[in-house]
Amino acid sequence: MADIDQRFTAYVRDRSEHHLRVAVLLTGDWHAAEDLVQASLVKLYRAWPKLLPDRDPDAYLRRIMVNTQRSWWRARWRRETPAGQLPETVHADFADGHALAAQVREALQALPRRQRTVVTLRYCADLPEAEVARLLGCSPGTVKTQAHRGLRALREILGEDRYERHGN
Amino acid sequence: MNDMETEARHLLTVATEDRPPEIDVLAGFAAARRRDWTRRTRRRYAATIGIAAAAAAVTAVTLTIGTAPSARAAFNSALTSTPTQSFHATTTWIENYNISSNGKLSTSPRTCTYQVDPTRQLQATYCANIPGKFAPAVIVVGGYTYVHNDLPGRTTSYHGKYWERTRSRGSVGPVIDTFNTGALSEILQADTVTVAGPVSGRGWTGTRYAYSRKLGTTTFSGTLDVDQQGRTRNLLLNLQAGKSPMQELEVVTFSDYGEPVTVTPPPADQVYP
Repeated sequence: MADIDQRFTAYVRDRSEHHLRVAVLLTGDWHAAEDLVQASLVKLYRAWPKLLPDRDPDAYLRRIMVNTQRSWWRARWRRETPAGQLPETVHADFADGHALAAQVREALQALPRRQRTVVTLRYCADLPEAEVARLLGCSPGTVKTQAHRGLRALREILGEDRYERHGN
Repeated sequence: MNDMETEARHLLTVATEDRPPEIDVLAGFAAARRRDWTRRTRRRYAATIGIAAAAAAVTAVTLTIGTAPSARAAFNSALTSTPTQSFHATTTWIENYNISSNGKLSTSPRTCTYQVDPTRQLQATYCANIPGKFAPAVIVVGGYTYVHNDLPGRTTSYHGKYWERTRSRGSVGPVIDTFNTGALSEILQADTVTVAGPVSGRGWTGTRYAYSRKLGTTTFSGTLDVDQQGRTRNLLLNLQAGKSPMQELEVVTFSDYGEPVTVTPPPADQVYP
């Protein structure tokens, strides 16, 4: 057990930063991201002794995170009122890096949940389309379409000039 | 990769560069794991003691010669009477998870042993996630319940103390209502209870009852062995969730009825609060 715990603790130490970054893009908030990663790690820990040696724990944790976030979202959506349209284009000054980070996350949150997940997994976690498709249970073509629409929506929300200026 | 994708990658990187310094996943995970372990252990503890206490109670069951109760009556009585004797119990359960994308099942049996004295409200539980490697999990003594926190990186939890103490509320006894999966209450409402035949073990003989209960797509089935003194000896539960690969198998055995039980509290300097 001690050996298992040591290996798991080492894994958390090595990989939690990466998964926290993915989580904050999925949730839009650092503290919600922390909650999501911790809840997912608890589930991973339960299954850790059973994980086959050839299985990638990152992939398994990613799947847990996406499923957990989806279940949280499902539990929450009834209390929220859909806006029906995208929020107004952001005109704030992007000089402050923190403000920019928050604005990009806010723009990401304006995307439909599935689109946001696809964009995050493709362009933050750097997963190939086929792997995202397997994770979400859809076709690679759907991933490609959702990714394209997501990027276009982001560009629209953030404003084309700012998008290009800060994206390069 | 086109320009729009390149821009997106950079923007998403920027969007994760304002991480607040107070966020500490490893320390937070230790606390989350502690809460999860406590919750699950309590449920497991309550569940098994629910079975154990009910099953051990059979001293209160009087099967009058010549007016033997029906199989269902004897079955339900054995599971719900109030225990009066100390006993030992061992629970082994196997959960199958479909954790890999190729659908291959993975199995890991876990075992807990119990020493219980319902009259004196004493209990000592040891659990092993790895066969043969038992660690203390729950102690009930002196009106308190102590739950051990088995965590990686737990040095920040409970100020470095390993045992969480709460006031006991008569928890060593029949607690059927708190059975974790509701399985025991489902067993008591079994669609069918039949006498499967005679059964014997080391130093005892008795009757084996078979039961089954279908609830939606979930099926509970198994056997209950009751000795000639009316004491439950073995309980087998097989829980199958529809056609999914999720399955749980649980075996509870009881022994050493009437043997004295000695339980001591954990060291005071390892207890919180």
